[in-house]
Amino acid sequence: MATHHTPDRLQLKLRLPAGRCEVTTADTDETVVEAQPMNGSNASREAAESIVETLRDHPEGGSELTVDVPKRKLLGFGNAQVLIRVRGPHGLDLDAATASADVVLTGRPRCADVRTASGDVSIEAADGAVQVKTASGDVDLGQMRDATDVKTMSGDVVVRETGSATDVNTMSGDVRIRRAASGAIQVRSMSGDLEAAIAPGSTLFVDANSASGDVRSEIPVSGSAPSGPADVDLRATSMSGDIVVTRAPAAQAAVSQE
Amino acid sequence: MNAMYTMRLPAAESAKLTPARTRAPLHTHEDVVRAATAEQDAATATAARRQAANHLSGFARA
Repeated sequence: MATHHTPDRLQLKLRLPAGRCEVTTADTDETVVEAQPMNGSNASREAAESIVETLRDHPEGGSELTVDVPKRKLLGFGNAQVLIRVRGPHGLDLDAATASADVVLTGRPRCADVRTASGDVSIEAADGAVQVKTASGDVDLGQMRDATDVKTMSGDVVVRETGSATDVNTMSGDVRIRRAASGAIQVRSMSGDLEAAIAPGSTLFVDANSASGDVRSEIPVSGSAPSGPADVDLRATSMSGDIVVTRAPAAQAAVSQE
Repeated sequence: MNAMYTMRLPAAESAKLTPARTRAPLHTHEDVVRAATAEQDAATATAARRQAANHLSGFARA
């Protein structure tokens, strides 16, 4: 376990082939990194011991901490799986890249840029922009307060709350937006189903097209525009997926009010 | 031998031996095709697209 002094803005870079990354933020000016093997294999133990942590000044201010588990192609780590736990200050920016490792981000980070091949991605909340790219990993996003951009091939995407621009592209993955209070929302899929739930009271403009799937709205849609721009501008396109617009259940607190 | 030459084929087999008509009689009034105007083409294409796609567009209040 290593502790780094990171009182200013922190950019956290994680590189892990397989295993799991757990990042949480707290009211602290230190960043604690812990790595441990996820199983009893020698490969996992050696991979956990090979972790490299580098702290340097970030060109744009603050500090940059890189946590890297090197990938050995020739000798290989076999089924090496490492659990990396990081506890850092609120407002950190996360830049994570993994192959099959899952990424879990909790607390109050600022921005997140996460890329995985098959690893699942879960982000509880973010104050800044969030970008996620996966091949087959599922994506679970909580309260998104700024622009959100998700691209996946076959992973399913859930956005629990959004109050800002949201752009989701999938091939076969399903997309569920559980609560949209405001912002421009664009969802596209080839065969994945798309569902967007609009926060009660929000005005909506919807333009949804599916070539061979069903398109329906549980909210009555008419051609008469409300006064002023709509709170939610929903554009949904699919080739063969179904598109459903629903009304979200009343929530404890809307994202836009926080 | 005579019996063989006078044998009658079933109607189905006889039909196979009938030379196929290689050219249908020409009816000039059917061969004249009126070219569609650009407006008609666009309207037809739009209607076909609407039939093929499921579409929803409009305003609502949740």
